[in-house]
Amino acid sequence: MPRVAATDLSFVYPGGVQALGGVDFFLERGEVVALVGPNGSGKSTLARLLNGLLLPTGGEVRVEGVKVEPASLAWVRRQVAYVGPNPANAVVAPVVEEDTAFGPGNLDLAPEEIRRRVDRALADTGLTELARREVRFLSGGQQARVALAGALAMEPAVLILDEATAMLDPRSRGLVLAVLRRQVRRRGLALLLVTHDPAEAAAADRVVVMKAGRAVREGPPAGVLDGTDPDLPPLPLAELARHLAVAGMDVPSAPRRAGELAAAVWGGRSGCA
Amino acid sequence: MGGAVRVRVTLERVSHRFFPGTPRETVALEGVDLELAPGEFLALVGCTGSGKTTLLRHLNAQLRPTAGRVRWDGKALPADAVRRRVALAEQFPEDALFADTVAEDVAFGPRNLGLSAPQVADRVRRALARVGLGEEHARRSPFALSGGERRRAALAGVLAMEPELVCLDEPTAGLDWRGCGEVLELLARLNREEGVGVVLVTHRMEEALRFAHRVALLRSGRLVLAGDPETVLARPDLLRRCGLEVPPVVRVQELLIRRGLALASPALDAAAAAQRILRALEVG
Repeated sequence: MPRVAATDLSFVYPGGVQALGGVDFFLERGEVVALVGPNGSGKSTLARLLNGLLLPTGGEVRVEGVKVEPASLAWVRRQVAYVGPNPANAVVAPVVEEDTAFGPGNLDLAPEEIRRRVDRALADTGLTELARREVRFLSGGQQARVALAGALAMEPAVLILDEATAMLDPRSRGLVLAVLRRQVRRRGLALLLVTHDPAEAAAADRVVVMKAGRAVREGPPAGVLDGTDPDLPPLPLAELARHLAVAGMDVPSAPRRAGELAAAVWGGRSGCA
Repeated sequence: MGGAVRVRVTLERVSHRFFPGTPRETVALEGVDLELAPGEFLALVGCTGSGKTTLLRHLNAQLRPTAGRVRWDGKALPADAVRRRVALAEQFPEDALFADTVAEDVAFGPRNLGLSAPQVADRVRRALARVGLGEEHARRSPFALSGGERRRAALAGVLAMEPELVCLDEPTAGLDWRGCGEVLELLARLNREEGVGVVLVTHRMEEALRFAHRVALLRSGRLVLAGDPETVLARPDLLRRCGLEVPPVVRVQELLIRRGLALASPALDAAAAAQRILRALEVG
């Protein structure tokens, strides 16, 4: 059973704007999916429907088989954590570690367990040294990490990052994504990345493309982000690989990592010269 | 517009400490020397907490240095005089949109300058045209726009003040692929065609290297390097030490150089990079 499954999902905002029209979507245990597409295509609406921040106007969402509805919301939100793009909206306490402890504090956990989770989440987001600092005096990127720490401390089965890493610099982003990837492997975390960043999408198992409220395309990153769609960024190395291939070099068409392409160029140098 | 006056901003040994003399004292900037030439397009890059935003806020006198000094055309100026010439667009500027229509929102600043109604209308029209929004957008509520349009509407409000220098804090954050391109293109056009100075704070090296004349690297509040894109591209090690990403295309060339390929320096553009690689392979 998928961790999250949406069937024929529709959502019409009050006022009549249809944000989603009949989307089928699933997220498996231990899977990383990138949700891409232009602003206004329904990505965030879909993400918010998956943890019950919005309730569908048509179709349904099931989390571990349980239908998302008002009666199941409290349980659903413990399974599915959502972190949005603007970290300032997620801050609930003045001091970093108090903010991180807020979520687990509502889970009927022993104080030692809350402490353990808070320490772990702060370490995982590189915030240990900022634990006693006031959130409002932190930089935008640091606040984004505070928001992430709060979600990680919930130890959710599913984590949705809706542009939540956009404000992070590459080092923090790398750190956070490495931690999440470890959780994907170790405890089967299902990770949904709503993103505009081609490098982030490149590292997903599967890319789902949204347009005008529908899921229009899905597949492995190299197949989907091939540079043919002006609404989507091409994979960062695809263009360089294409130029080299046109010149007769034997290189992979959509290398995921720089090392992969460099090795192919270096390995093929005698054949070319 | 080409002959218009553009401000030169000079930072001399600028330091900024938050909460000085308290246990929370934080050094945000330390001895930064930097001169912005009139009409220059500068990118300020660095990781979170490197001091980019703090430095940006000194340029329009939102912050004053706790040591060192900032000069505008060689003079110390009061904050209101600086802000008539240097505009600042904060992160997520669209959060501050409030009026019933986009046109009303853009008109807010110019009206406060005491301009006449026709002058204000003219400023609004020009500002919206600069960001690529038309009459049909002007009449709508800011909340009826897409994310990218809303961002551009907010930037129109900044440009309607007709600043000589516009400072932007992560102006593409949260925008989609197309939206990012539109914002960066409009800044490049503003700079190229009207000579307006641009300071762009970003942590995306691609943006900085592709659009700016000069890139300033910040690390822990200190200026590490300021140079043209070629100079910065030649130092991927420095980018990494500053916690920044080396663009993947550059990284490939860096790895090849390390293996012994005779590449003089890496290129950012894929086509140029392929050409340099192929030429080096023929020679080698």
